[in-house]
Amino acid sequence: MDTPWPAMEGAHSPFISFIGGRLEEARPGYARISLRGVPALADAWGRMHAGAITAIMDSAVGAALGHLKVQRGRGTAPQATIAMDVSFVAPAASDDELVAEGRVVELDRNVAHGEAELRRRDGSLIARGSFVFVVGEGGRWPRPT
Amino acid sequence: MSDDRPLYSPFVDMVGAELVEWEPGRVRWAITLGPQHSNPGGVMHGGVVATLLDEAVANAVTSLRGRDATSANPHLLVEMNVSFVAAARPGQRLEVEGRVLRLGRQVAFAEAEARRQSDGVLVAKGRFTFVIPDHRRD
Repeated sequence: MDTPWPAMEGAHSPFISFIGGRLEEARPGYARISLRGVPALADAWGRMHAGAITAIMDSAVGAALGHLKVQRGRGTAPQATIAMDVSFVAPAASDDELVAEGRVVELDRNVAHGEAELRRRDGSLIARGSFVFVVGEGGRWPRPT
Repeated sequence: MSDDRPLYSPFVDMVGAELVEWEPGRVRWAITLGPQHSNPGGVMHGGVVATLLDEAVANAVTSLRGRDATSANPHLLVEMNVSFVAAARPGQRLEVEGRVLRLGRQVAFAEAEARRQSDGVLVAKGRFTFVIPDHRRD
C-alpha cells in the first residue's frame, strides 16, 4: 500500500477538480479552497450538497497538511483522512460561492489533527469540522504489526 | 415504479452513483469508482463516500416522512461524523446503505455504511443528525 504523496506544490486532486474546486492558497499548516456553486452540486432541495462541502473542507486540511509535511522534510509520507466530524451551521444555496479554510492543529509521527471552516464568500459561516489523518513514515505506510 | 423513488440530489448524478434499492427507512446506492473520484494519492477521495453516505440517509429520512411533508419542510443536516475505515481505488465498486435510527418530530438520527462490493470490506461508516425545522413558528 505504498502511495507516495506527490510533490505538494500544485498537487492535483482529481475529485476537487471534478466538482469545480480551486486551490487558492496553500502553505505549511494552512490552505484555502474555493468552490463556485452550480446547479449540479445541489441536493434534492437546491441546497449545496453536504458531500461537496465536506470534500473541499477535507481537501483544504489535506493540502495544509501536505505542505506542512514538506516543510518538515516528510513530503513523501502518505496521508489519509480517517475521521471527520462536521457541524452544519447554516445551509448554503447550490449557487453560492464557498471558501473552505483548513488548518493543521497538530502533526506528530503517525497522526495529524486538523480543523476547517467553510464560509460563503461574504464571510457567513456554513460549516465547521475537525479532521484526523493517519500519516506514514518516509515514503510508505507503517508495516502492519 | 419510478414514482415511488425517494427524492434524490442532482449532485449524486454528477458523481455517477446509481440508486439500487429503497424501502421505508432504508436506501441503497452503488458506484463504480473512476479516476475522477480520486484524491492526490490516487485513492478514493473521502468526499465521494461522504456524499453517498449523506445521500443515502437523507433519502431514507425522506422515505419515512413522505414526499409531500419533506418537500414542504425539508430536513436539514446539522451534524455528520464519518470514519474512513479502508481505502478504495478506481475500478472498484462500492455499495452504500443508509438507515434511519429514529425519526422524531424535530430530529432524525441515521447511520450509513459503505462496503467494497467485491469482498464486503467496510470502507466507511457514518452517523448523521438531521433537524426538521418547525416552519409553523417562522
